[in-house]
Amino acid sequence: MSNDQSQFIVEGKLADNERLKRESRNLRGTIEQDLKDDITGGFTADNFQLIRFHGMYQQDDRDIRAERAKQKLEPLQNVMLRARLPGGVILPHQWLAIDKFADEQTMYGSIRLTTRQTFQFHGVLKPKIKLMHQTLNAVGMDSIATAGDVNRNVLCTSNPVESALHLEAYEWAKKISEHLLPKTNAYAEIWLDGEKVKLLSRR
Amino acid sequence: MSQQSNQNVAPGAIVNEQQWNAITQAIAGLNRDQLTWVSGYAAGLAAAQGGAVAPAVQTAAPAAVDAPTLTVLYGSQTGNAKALAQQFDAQAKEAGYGSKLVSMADYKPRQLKSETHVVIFASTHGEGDAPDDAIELHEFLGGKKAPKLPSTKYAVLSLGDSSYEFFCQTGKDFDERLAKAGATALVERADCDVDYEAQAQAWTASVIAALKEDFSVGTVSATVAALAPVVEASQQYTKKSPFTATLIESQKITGRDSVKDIRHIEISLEDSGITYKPGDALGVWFKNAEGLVNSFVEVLALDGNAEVTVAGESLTLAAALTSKLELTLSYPTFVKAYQEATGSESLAALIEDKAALRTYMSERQLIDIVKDHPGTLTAQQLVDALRPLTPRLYSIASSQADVEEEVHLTVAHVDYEAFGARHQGGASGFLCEYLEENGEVEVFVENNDNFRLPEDPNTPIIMVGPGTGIAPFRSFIQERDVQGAEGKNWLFFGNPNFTQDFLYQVEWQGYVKDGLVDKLTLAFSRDQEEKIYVQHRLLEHGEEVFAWLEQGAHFYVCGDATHMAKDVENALITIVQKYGNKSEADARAYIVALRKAKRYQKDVY
Ligand SMILES: Cc1cc2nc3c(=O)[nH]c(=O)nc-3n(C[C@H](O)[C@H](O)[C@H](O)COP(=O)(O)OP(=O)(O)OC[C@H]3O[C@@H](n4cnc5c(N)ncnc54)[C@H](O)[C@@H]3O)c2cc1C
Ligand SMILES: NC(=O)c1ccc[n+]([C@@H]2O[C@H](COP(=O)([O-])OP(=O)(O)OC[C@H]3O[C@@H](n4cnc5c(N)ncnc54)[C@H](OP(=O)(O)O)[C@@H]3O)[C@@H](O)[C@H]2O)c1
Ligand SMILES: Cc1cc2nc3c(=O)[nH]c(=O)nc-3n(C[C@H](O)[C@H](O)[C@H](O)COP(=O)(O)O)c2cc1C
Repeated sequence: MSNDQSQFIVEGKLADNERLKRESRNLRGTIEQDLKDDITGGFTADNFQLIRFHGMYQQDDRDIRAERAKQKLEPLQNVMLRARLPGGVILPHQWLAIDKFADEQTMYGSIRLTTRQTFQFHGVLKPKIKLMHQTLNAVGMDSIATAGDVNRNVLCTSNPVESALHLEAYEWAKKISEHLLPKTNAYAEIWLDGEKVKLLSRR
Repeated sequence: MSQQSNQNVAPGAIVNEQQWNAITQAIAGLNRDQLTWVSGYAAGLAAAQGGAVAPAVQTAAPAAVDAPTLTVLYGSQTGNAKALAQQFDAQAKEAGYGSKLVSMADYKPRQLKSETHVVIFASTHGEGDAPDDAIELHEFLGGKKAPKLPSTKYAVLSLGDSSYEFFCQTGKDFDERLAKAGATALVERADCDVDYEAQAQAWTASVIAALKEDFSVGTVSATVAALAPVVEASQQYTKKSPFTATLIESQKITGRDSVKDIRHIEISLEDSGITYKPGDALGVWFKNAEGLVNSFVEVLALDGNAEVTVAGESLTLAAALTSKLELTLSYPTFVKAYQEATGSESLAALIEDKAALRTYMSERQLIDIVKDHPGTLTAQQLVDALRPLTPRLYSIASSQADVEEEVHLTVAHVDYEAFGARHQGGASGFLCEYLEENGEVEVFVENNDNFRLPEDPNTPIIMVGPGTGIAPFRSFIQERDVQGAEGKNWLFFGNPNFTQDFLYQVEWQGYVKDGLVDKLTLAFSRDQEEKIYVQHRLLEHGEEVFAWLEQGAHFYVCGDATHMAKDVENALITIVQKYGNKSEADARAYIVALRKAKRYQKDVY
């Protein structure tokens, strides 16, 4: 057993990300405190990285960074979210829900489709982040572990019209995606006020 | 008490009590003219008896109780009334009247009863409200406990601005209330507009003259006369002789998508020797925009090069409109004078209806009124209809402990579209739009002792400053930073949107990180459906706010006077009521006590 694992062990100093995960209280960090801190639109220190395990990257509008520095304003910080969408399948009612959110609550009013068979919201301000996750959850979606040093989205062949095999592959994509989810309730606690995540497989 | 005060007034050494009663009875109910006539009549009788009157009075002098008192009281928010009161006091002392200068804030209202002569200088603030330092005395005189003052003589000078609906209201109130209390006016009240200097001087002279009789040399007790004049450490540069400073920078500090244009302005005071304290304001003289001056000239078909005379100085119409006269604010005196000069019938009709005229003017600058009612008048008539340009005040946003020979301001650029044209504020347009880097701007410091950090650096402070109201708190915190003050600091700030309007965000973040600012509570009003304002945040944190107050915290409010400051005060009353377990009346009394202890201070506009 121990011999089997040894082949995966890389010698040398661990990346800082390993410390971060170890100290993160199962990916909770102090994200909730940062959410309450309304004097900045950003996340601090480790939380800046940790939110990636919840599917988000902190970004800012680079083009106006210098301009805002002169205005004595911090960079226009916001987050980008990548949804967990195994095999890239989204249902009509889900699309309507994300379209509405993108339209009304994001800075750019758009949904971005990606080559990894999923979609992203861009330009979401801190006070809207919880609403974003709750909106996804309400229609059976989430963004757990879609960023950071994890598998991200699980792809499968795009829909060859009415292929029986595709459905089977899609089921596997979902299973793999869920199998690889971090074993923590952090996402639900932080974003959904503790409510259970509605996993696609259970619907 | 009242008996004694009567004796104070009755020249007991000259007439006996019986005579005195007879005299007061005989003159009771006489009006001013009649009284003046009586005094002349009596003087005539005295002259007819032969011998000098003065020696008789002089023999009376040693009886200290008989000496008349001259108390000069001022109620002043931004220093104008205070400066006039100081000038008056100096002149009275020079005349040997032995006057005493007191801020109404430091004056015990009950003492009025023992005064023989009171001279009042009072400005008006808010919407016809008394300035902070005058509130108590103003209320006392208007209330049920108002004393009877049959033997007090008084004079009132009111300061105001005729572009406000309740012009010189506080001065009028004082006059009315004193008269009602039975006091006698020495001279008629003067209601002064923003160009008050000449009128105030003439009035001062008339009061000095009117006092002469009662204060003829011998009657004044020597000790009082010897009092040193209370003069402020004088600034070399004043409103009338400002310092020509240069603009270092004018930086917009609202984001590109903001609904507001608010500037951080840095001005160099290099080599001026000017000093200021946190809480002070900077007076800024400005020039009217060239485009606006041209519009007046064109709309009225006048010649910009025409010679006109303004306050005895002759210059071209364009020059007068640019730097001597008020063009952007609207005031009723212009409308009346313009109507008379042009004979405009439509304006005449409007002037008849006072309320309608108010509404009409509140939405328009003078140029809109002129465009609406075109007419013909001469360049000189136009100039005569306009009132002199007055400098604007801006709360200073820096501390010299930090920025040394600079002064910083936070200025909201008044800039909007109306009636098919762009409109800008006179001073804010000049500062934000026309003044270039290194360009010259005339400034002076306006002392404001009604808005000061606690003397003890360990005293906690709560600062409420939405919008440009943030300015003096930047100054306070810079000062406390350099001082190494240990007192806790709590700032409440609000503005429309978090991403666009968080004024000095990066600086505040730094102060919070360093632990200098203990709490920073924000109210962004337009980031959600419902409005969230600073007073809502105050209420949310009510328990803690009250705890701070109980720990001796000072409470400061700066910014909009019309709505915000009132709502904040109401929130404060609610908090004291709720967390201090008090009735509304007791909560109000608590706030009054705070104000009297100089622990509740406002800089509102
Ligand atoms: C003690 C004190 C401290 C102050 N501190 C500050 C400060 O720190 N920062 C600051 O910005 N100001 C401050 N002010 C206000 C400042 O003095 C000026 O009143 C302000 O800048 C406007 O002056 P202005 O000359 O630009 O405009 P004005 O030429 O005086 O014109 C202003 C007029 O325009 C009208 N107006 C404004 N906006 C609109 C609109 N959207 N639609 C229609 N009419 C409008 C108003 O009714 C007003 O009558 C302070 C005032 C005082 C008394
Ligand atoms: N004459 C005018 O038309 C006019 C208009 C605006 C300002 N002003 C004057 O311009 C000066 C500078 O204004 P500013 O831009 O710095 O700030 P401001 O206009 O006072 O606005 C600052 C913040 O206060 C909010 N606010 C509005 N009403 C309030 C209330 N009753 N209580 C508490 N907060 C309230 C505003 O919200 P919302 O704006 O979202 O309501 C905003 O978020 C002030 O003197 C102000 O009186 C004049
Ligand atoms: C916020 C504010 C409100 C004012 N309200 C009135 C008013 O209601 N009526 C009036 O006649 N003058 C009003 N004024 C004008 C002042 O009375 C005038 O500027 C006066 O010279 C100020 O004197 P002070 O410096 O002694 O306070 C107001 C001025 C300010 C700054």
